[in-house]
Amino acid sequence: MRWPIGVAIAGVLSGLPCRAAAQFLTTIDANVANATYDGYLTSAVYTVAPSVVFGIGPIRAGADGAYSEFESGHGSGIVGVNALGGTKIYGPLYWELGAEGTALWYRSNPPVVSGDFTPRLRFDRGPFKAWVGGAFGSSDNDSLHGSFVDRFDAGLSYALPHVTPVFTIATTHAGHAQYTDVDAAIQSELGRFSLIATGGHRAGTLLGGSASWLSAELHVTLTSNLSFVFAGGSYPVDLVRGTPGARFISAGVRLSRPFGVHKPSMGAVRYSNSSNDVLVDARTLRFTAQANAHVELMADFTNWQPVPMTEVRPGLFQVTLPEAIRSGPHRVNIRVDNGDWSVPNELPPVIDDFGGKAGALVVP
Amino acid sequence: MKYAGAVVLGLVVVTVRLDAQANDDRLRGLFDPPTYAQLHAVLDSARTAGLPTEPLIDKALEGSAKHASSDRIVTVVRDLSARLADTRTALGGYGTADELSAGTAALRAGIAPATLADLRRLRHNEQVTIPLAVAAELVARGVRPDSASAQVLRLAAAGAPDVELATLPRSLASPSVVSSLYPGGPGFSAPTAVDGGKSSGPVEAGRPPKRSPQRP
Repeated sequence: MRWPIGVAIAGVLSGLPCRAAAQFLTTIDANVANATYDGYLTSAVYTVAPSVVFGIGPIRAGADGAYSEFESGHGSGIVGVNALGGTKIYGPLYWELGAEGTALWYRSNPPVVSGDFTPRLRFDRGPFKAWVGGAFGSSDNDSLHGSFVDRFDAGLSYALPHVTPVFTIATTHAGHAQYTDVDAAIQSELGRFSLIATGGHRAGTLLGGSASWLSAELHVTLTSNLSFVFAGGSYPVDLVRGTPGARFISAGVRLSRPFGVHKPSMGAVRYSNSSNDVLVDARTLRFTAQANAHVELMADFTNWQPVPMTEVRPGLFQVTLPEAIRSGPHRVNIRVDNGDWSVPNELPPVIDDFGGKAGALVVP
Repeated sequence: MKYAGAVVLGLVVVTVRLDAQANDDRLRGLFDPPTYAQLHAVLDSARTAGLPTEPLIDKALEGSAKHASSDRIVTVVRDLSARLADTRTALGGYGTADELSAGTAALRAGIAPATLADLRRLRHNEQVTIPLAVAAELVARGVRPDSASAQVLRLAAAGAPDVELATLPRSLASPSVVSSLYPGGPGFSAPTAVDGGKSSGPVEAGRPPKRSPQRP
């Protein structure tokens, strides 16, 4: 079933014409591993895995792949596309809808194609996060004796200083297989090092593969674009995508580079909220406010003197200052129709010490 | 010739005093004489302590623009002067006016003094203004102070330039975009990082799913 792939591609394309600041991240992983797959002899594995992620407004989409060559000289590849969008419902509650599609092939065997939609409700309040969600889709993995896939999953996490524990549970029906995964993970960050350790157990009607797994992945950041990745442990069979379980140890490098990011011009950084950029250039600011109103701005860079703004489009106000705003942190207020000084919609609020708040603006 | 040094020193002293006078004059017309005298005393003390006065004048101007009471303005400016001194200590005993302003905002946001010291150590040849401002902004956007510190320190340790650091808060602009596009950035936070690629959750940016090694 290839329609989920089409949906995911459509998700990517639908975001392209938007004016919101888009961000891309390209990544290439290259690693060498020693792996023992379920039912196979131990083998050296050489893998190259490129990926690109695209984010714009509330939509994120990506495409990734991997090609592995084994000691036997055989090769295997996998490609996937995915898209995700969502918005806040109320307070800390969000909804998300994702779609993804994957195709995997090994030697001359027919490829295993799978895809699903993934609705999710997410609760996000400070360090505590929880979610419930699921998936429905299909897979043409022959060993499933059926193509329909559905899953229910839930999880929670709590961010402690430097360490975040995460617990998840997922119940999956895939063809004739039915199983429940319980998974616990620890994420930790310390300076240049980040570690993810995962352990879990699978119970239910199994079609081969590990019933328990334990793995760890260590990232050592060398520069903002280059890191070492060391990993080892085991992971279970993925019946939906058609990958076998394995025990492995690997070492590799990750090259990553953002591109398409609107690098600030003239030393200015752009903050994005919907389709409007706050700092158009080093002298020009834009904020949204009530249409057809008299809007004024004052900030440290105006010596806290009110400066009138011009409505350039309904609800979008602009001011061009006589001098460039210098690099550093700044505080900004606006007021509408001579009302109270308030925080512009586009900036995060900080306490101003005088019983009100100002918007924080950082110019690099 | 032997008097040249003394002449230059004298000119510098006069220039500094004139500059200080000009700065203080920005406040003279805004406040009544008793309030101005109190503010002037705070500024003089700061100057004597080697602290920048521009942030203090800026705060007084802001208070005046927002019609705060004179007592309140004096209290706030005096408090800011003390906090600038604390920030300078946290930054290793020195800092530009911008660094001290940004550091004060960061401490006020809940960033630990140790983070300031770490940033100074990591960027001993560069200004730390932007990293500190970004850390404060992340907190203002709802990120926990320790997490904001970790993210900024990670990028600083990796040698990320200011322009890259400054894009960090933008990646959090939309809560539904659950991951930063930067590896090890905000997207490292749960739940997406761990379940990414293994279940229905979104794929963590920069971290392809566990698809390698693959089928032999």
